[in-house]
Amino acid sequence: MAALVLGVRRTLALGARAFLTVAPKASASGVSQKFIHTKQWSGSQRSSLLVSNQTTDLKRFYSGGPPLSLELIRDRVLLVLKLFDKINPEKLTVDSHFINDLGLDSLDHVEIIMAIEDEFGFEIPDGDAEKLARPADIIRYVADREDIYE
Amino acid sequence: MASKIPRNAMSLKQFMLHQEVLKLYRSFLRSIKEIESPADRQQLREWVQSDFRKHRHETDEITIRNLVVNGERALKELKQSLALSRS
Repeated sequence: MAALVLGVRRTLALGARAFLTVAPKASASGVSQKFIHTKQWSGSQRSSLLVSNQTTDLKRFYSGGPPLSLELIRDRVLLVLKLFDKINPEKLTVDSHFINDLGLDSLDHVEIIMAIEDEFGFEIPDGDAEKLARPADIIRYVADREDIYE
Repeated sequence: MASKIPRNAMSLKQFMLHQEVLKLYRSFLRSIKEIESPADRQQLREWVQSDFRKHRHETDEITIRNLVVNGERALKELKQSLALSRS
């Protein structure tokens, strides 16, 4: 994480240096230094010099979302499972076994794991996927991966 | 209940075949996720799901092995056309 921050800093520093070279032009139009920095992150946006809310938009270009907590992970996992069409949402609890309690088969289990991968944006190796037999196991696995402890 | 092994446990051979099928299913779903058009993705997904489900009660080892080989061939084709569509 620290290395990432450092990398970002370095790029920003580079940006500052680039700013120096274009400074005469930029300062003529009265653009703040901040804008020059943000410009390289917001390639998809229109490069109108008059956009002033750049700093608020900037947030979404970084990878970090709101910090995950154990409750948040639990809610997201349970939501994914409730939206899975073969699970009866009323029967679902954190400790219900997918195959024994919820009556799913191993193909459904594969699909559930893929849905969880989609939700949290990382891949679960086959060997680990087999061990995740209950929602509680999934929650613990995701929390371990994201370094979240209570 | 003398043995610790459940009565309906699979033999090693069955277990390995079972794992192979699941692995194939997983790679199918992973490949399908790369399809760009949402309608095609949905259609292909349902097709693969129903094909796997159609044979879920299959018990004969040779039949299953044949199905797996067919599936692998189809997966290879799918991957090739995906790569082709991307290039």
